[in-house]
Amino acid sequence: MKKVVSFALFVIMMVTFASMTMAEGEAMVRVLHASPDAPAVDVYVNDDLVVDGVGYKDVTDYLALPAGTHTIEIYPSGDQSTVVITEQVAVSSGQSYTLGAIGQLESIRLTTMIDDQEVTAGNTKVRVAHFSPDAPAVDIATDAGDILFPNVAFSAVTDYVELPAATYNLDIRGAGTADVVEELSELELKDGMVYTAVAVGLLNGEPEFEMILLNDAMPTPDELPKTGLGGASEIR
Amino acid sequence: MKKWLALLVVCSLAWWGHPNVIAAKESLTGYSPLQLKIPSLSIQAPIEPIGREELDAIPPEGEKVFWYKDGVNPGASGNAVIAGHFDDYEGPAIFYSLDQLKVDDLLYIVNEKHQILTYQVEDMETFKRDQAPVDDIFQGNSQSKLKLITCSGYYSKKEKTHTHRTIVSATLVGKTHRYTPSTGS
Repeated sequence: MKKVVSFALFVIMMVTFASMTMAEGEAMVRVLHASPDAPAVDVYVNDDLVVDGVGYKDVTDYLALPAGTHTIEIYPSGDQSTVVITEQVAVSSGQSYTLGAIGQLESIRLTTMIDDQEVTAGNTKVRVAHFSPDAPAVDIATDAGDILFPNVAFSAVTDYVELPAATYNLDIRGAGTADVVEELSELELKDGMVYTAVAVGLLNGEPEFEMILLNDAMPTPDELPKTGLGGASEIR
Repeated sequence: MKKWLALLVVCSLAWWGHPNVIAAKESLTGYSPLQLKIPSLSIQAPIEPIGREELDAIPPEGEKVFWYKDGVNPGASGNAVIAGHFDDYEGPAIFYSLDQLKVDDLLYIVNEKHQILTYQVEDMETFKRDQAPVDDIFQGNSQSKLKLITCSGYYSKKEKTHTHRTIVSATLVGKTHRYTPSTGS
């Protein structure tokens, strides 16, 4: 019973704080499932279920956690008999994190990324995470030939690069070569947005290699718009 | 020679005649939307892009809907947000009947690349204006969703706006297709 109550309280806490407006003494944490052959998973924090049924390529919303060290456990969805990952993760107040479950199931592990949410007006920020276990190290370059992210190997997460907000055509190439693995065409990177581009999947096998884009930060209004002028409503 | 030409014409016609079987090229960030179609409510509305500043005072045009362009584009991961008036100064506006939508109804977005994206309604919620979870509505990841916003409740003279907001949440389903309307748009 005590456990149920504490779980209920925890859920209420989660729901109450499940917005990106961070409270004092809290960190925001989300979980990315980037393990190509792992099943959908449930995520437990300090023995409490916080998100269930996170599938491959899914990323959860940011959840608020108190600053400090937490035990993160990942189980196959609906099956708490075999733990997939157990990891102690330390989070700091005011900081946002993405925890990536990466690698193939036999060597799955959690990698912690610190998410940036600040960007200079007029600019955009982007970084790259290479979570495709069988893909070689890559360079990511603009179609003009400028290498933005050199030599990114599996499990690496680059620093953010700040760029003028614009539409970019990027090429993912084998590191040090001109061989294009994948093109990211017409990537509209917006003013005030922060992104993580993640390489997932397998070059040789299923699920196939692809890029996904996470929104680390975006400009959000303070309140919902005024969408009515009263012409067909009761006026009080 | 003539025969080849005829064959070419037939092939081209076949191509244009069945646009919906051809999956369109997709960008990870999606494209700007031009038009919203909700067949179950007979809604067909042009979409005007507006930024964060304009969102505070969206134009009093009842026939259009307004897309929050500082957020994500439809087709990208995250929530693309579109607001429309419930009523204008004279009477009902474009989203007057939005609360008649049902879970599983389909919505369509036509974008600047003449592609059509299909969304399926998964959820509808109404909140008091000051209690709506703004961050959750605007910020998202993983799935590509559409959030439609309109007013509900009554119009408060004091607040100069309606007391409630209705939010429709729809998820992108299927592939993006080339959009070639047979008669106009």
